[in-house]
Amino acid sequence: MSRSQEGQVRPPSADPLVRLVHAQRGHMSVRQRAEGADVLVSRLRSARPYGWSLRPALAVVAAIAIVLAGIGIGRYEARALSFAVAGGHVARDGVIEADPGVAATLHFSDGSDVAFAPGAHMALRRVDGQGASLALTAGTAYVDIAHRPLARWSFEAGPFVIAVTGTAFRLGWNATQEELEVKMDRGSVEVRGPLSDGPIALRSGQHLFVRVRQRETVIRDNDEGAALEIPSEGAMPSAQHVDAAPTAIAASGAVSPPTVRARTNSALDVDWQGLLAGGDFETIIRQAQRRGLEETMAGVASSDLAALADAARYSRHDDIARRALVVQRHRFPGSPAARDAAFLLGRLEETVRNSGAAVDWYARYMQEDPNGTYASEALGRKMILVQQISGASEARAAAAEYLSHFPDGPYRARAQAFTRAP
Amino acid sequence: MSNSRRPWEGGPGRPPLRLVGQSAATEPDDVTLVRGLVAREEWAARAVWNRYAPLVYGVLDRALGSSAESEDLTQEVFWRLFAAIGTLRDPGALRSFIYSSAIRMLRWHLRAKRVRRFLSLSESGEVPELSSEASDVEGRELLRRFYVMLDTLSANVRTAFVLRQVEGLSLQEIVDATGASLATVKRRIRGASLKLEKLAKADPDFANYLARPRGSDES
Repeated sequence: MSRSQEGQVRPPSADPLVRLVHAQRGHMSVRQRAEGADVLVSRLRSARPYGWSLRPALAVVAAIAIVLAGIGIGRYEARALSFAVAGGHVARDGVIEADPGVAATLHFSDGSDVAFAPGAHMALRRVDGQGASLALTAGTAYVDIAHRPLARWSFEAGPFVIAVTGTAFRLGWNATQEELEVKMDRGSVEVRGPLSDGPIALRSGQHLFVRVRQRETVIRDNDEGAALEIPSEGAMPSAQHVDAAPTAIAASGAVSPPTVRARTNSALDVDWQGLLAGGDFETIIRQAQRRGLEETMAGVASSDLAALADAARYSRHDDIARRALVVQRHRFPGSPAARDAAFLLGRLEETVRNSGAAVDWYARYMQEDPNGTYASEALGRKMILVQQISGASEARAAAAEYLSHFPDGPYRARAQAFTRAP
Repeated sequence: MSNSRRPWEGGPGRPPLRLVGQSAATEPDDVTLVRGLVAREEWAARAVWNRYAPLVYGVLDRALGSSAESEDLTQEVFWRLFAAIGTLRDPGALRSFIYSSAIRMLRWHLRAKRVRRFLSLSESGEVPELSSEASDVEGRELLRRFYVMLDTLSANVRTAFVLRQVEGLSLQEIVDATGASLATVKRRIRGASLKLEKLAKADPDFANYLARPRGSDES
């Protein structure tokens, strides 16, 4: 029997056992963390917070705020945002006026920022606890909105409205040429305007150009190098200069599936992402079923399709989840959501013990997004399934691949065991 | 026509106008998170969960050997954290506060389990589930028996033992986390070690597995 420095009796057999415990237990997966956060926030919104009953005055104020705002605000709600203008000031009518020769920046108390390029004109229309509404009347702004549940921001640019929850993007409006540009860096937005029946959903990595007079809407992917530049008058290219690679939507507004990545059907007028964040999965499923699942999946934005798939997975409607994920990949090929769908399809197949199909999906995810959020999980799970299906020798190659990519990953111990197996 | 690049022509261009930092640079520190929690901001609740839930889940799951129990308890730890956040005097000590809450929850849960087992005629006390991903069949069985042995310990003794032997905490850290005296912590760990060693010796397969020579897989 050995003794530690503090004189504690420590059984000689403890160490290999401790290693085994650490190898096999205590690892919180990405899915567990994401679902746990949603469940927790859902509880916070629906339950009476501790101590709330001791603050009736605040409850009254909150109730008045709800009435004034005209929207249902959960009990767990932020105070109204404060803001400050660096390099300028806000005039009485809400117009943000920059100091001479300086590019102004609006800083909000939740960490959101809106920075204006020289010459940009913007007006602040509304500020409340959920966000703000601003109108870009000319020029370019860089928008970086802190992601918060229930956040509600909107940006007007001419006849367009860009709805934002937690996003970073560049926004440009040329009032003379009536041209809009939205370049996404992070998150997602919905753009409503005169050329589409419903909102156009944009995600990280997408770049939208709209020329109102030509009735032309273009969406590009992975346009990382293009600078935000609203051309001056008389310098606009003709239609044939538009690259064949981007997807063009005809002036009539008709959509040509499956390459078009914008939603042009009528809006479903639902807040599935809000319902998902609130843990109300069954409502999402019921709404989709009421409208017809196939029709719904064919018409909603990518973000709503992802919300439907998540709600179906969490509420064990595996068939609906599978269908929504497949439609995501078909309608929005190459998008981040489509890539994630490959991993989630693998998880679904694994749940029903369809190991071969699961391995295929994980392999596809690794091909499409080798550095994606789920890469470690996909490679690790694929390795385990290969061992179950084909035995130790087949798993050895998968294990070596895992260790080369994720030497400190959660599946390290198993991968090491597989590489040593005879 | 101007030579300047049009947005839809693609290719390298001027760097974007950006006067704000990237999301990584704006990660809130613990003091900011605590302020957000006190103000009942949902973003703070999510941020605290994302930052500390893996830590809490990890220690609970290693102590209990059950993902389902660990997930439920992790939720409870944070639920009670949000209720008690106003009692946190030092916002910079958020991590310690959360860890101590997790340990208290663990002890409460273990006590409740023992009471239920004592009162129930049918509950066997076996661990409800083990990792289904374990490729080491013998290791899986070993862990099952280990958690059965841990179930024979009282809540306080098991907690002290797990914190010391599995989590690797120092004695003083265990004192800080549990509120027990140093002498009590030492006594509990010694008692657990002696009992587990006795149980392990009485289980030949368990003892044989642990006595088997290991390869060079130290990590």
